[in-house]
Amino acid sequence: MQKMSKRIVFFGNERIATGTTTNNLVLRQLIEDDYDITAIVVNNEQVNGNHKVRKLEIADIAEEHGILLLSPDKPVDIANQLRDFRPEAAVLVAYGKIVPKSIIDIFPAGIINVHPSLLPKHRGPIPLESAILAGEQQTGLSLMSLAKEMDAGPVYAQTIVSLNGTETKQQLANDLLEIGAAMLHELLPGILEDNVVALPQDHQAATYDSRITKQDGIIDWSKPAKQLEREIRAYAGWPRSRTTLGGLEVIVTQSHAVPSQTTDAAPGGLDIVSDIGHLGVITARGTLWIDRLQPVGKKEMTAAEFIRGYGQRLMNT
Amino acid sequence: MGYTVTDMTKDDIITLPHPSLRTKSQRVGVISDEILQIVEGMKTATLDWEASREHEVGVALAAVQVDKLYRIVVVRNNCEDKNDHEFTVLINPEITKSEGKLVEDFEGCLSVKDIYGKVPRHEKVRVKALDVKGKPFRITAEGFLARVFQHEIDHTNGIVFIDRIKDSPEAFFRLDKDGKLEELNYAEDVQANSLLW
Repeated sequence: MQKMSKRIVFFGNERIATGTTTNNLVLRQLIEDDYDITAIVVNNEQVNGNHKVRKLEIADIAEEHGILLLSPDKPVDIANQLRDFRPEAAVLVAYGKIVPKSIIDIFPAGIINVHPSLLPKHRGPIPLESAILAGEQQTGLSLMSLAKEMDAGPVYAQTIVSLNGTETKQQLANDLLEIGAAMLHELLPGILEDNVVALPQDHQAATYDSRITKQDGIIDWSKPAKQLEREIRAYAGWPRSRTTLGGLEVIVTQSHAVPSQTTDAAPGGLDIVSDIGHLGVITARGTLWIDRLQPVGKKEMTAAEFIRGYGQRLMNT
Repeated sequence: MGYTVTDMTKDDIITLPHPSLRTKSQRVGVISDEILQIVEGMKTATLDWEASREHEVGVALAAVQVDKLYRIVVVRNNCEDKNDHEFTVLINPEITKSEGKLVEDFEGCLSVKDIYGKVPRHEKVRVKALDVKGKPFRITAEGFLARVFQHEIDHTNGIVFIDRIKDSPEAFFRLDKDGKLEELNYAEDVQANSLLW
């Protein structure tokens, strides 16, 4: 007797955080585990990066493995096509569109969502960013059965990840996708056989995050230094954290916050220690020491390099 | 020395309309070198067949499928892992009890080209058989494994899975090269297909 590999539709592009790249670890694991990926459904086949349009990483995998790539305006537009694949389940990682119940119901074992937070906390489109912004000491990954209400479906399993407050968004995204791939490797066979129970979430404890806007990328020095340090990590890649230093527009890429203020300057005022190359900005509470930054149109550099290059301008303002 | 070891390949697997597939196999009396040779050949033939398929797993084989009319079945130990090449061997297997309701699910057969059928099978079966040393053992199987045993023990009795669904117009499917599973046209592709009946 022979059997077919389990037939799975993959939704999403695995960009689980804004402005990050992905190695598509989840899809690669499913292919490695010999599931028959009948189609990959994405929001867009291209991504709008900073000033350039690029092909999605996942499009290359689709091509390499001869998997059909679909990018419908709405998932219902391909309902019949999905039904014809006779899939057993779908796996969804960062699809970016609402999936209606009529589509979920096509899959006998449902749609299994890889969500990068410890649900019911951080429902919504920016779970990873918001864990950094909130200064969480732990976050994690949830395997959830997709439901009509956003991120409110029952949860099969969670893995907790400790945070030390220095993680970059890219690093955290990589780690969480790796965990998601490992969890699916372990649990998907049981989920497909209906041997893994999904437990309802505690909806009372749910938190929701709204989208990041481009406006969030302008540093507001009237916020505490600690908060700004988190924003710089959470907004890395997109929308990034911009400010003007000595009349020069820069993007801050790495920083650390200290509670003390060494000058009486108002928020936004500079505290430069030229001989050791330290570049501080006074905030409403504490000082934000900029470690690395990128003047617009230039390469990323250290604070010391920046002071050597632009020190004169900084002193004059 | 009686036999030369020559591994069987997928080309040793017979397909419909080969008449042996509708013939009852005989019980194994003595587990001779010839029998052990057939057992090994059944394993290599299954793995060789699987290596030629992208999204299919060869989960079991009956001796009749390599045109040896003995009641011998080999079943993959781990049907979920293509890299696990271990088999369990059942000599003179028999279903002693069938339990649970009838469940329909897809199954295919290395001896029935390109067709998958939705076949009703019991949820749970108890099987008794001899191992390769001639020692009796019993297995209780549920779910997919129960299906595998029912399919293979049918082979030892000259029954092919399509015989169980021959009157079900909506039970026949084909898996095409792109992995698409299509329902077959019952009148044209099934009933009128002289290879099958």
